[in-house]
Amino acid sequence: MSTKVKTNKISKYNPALDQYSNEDLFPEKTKRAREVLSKPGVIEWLKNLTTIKKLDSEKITKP
Amino acid sequence: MDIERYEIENNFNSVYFEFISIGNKGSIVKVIKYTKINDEPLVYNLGFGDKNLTHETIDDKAVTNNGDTDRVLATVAFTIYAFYKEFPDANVYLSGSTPSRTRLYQININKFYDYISKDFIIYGELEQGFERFKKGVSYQGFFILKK
Repeated sequence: MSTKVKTNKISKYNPALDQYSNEDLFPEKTKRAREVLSKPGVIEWLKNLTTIKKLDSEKITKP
Repeated sequence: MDIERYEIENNFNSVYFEFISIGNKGSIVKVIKYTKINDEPLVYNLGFGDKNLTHETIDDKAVTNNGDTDRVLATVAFTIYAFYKEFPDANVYLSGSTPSRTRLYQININKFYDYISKDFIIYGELEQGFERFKKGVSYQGFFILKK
């Protein structure tokens, strides 16, 4: 059974959170992820996956 | 997913989430942040850590041992669904801040793979590139793509 745990809200909408949404809070991890993307062939591989995914979804939605 | 998770408080654009982990070490505010790192193809990095309320800083290496790992990771997984609702064409990269944390992610992907794979395709990062996630292989990071 799925149980949603009730916790106290940290706050109601907190405008201070907005600044975080535009900020890099995990610079080391982001740097590592950028390094992975810069490896030869990774961007092309992802582009291909995205294209295949799009084609597949078009196939599914076509009547 | 039939696993307990925490309630989320998130801001309006589904890239920043906070929730409170409650366990044997007390209440700890956890932060999940999706940071865009590439436009074409669209790639986001998933960052996850503890918020230090006194200093307003984030620590992604903290080992809190709050006794609620499954519930915390179920909450992280829930945010992936929320994120993809807004960014269905994105690709999400995930790795731990330490090898042992990456291993923890891998153990949990393994554990819930049958469920996760209904909605997502997971690729594991090896030294020489990426491959479709396989149980029993040790990966350095993961790409999560929505089906």
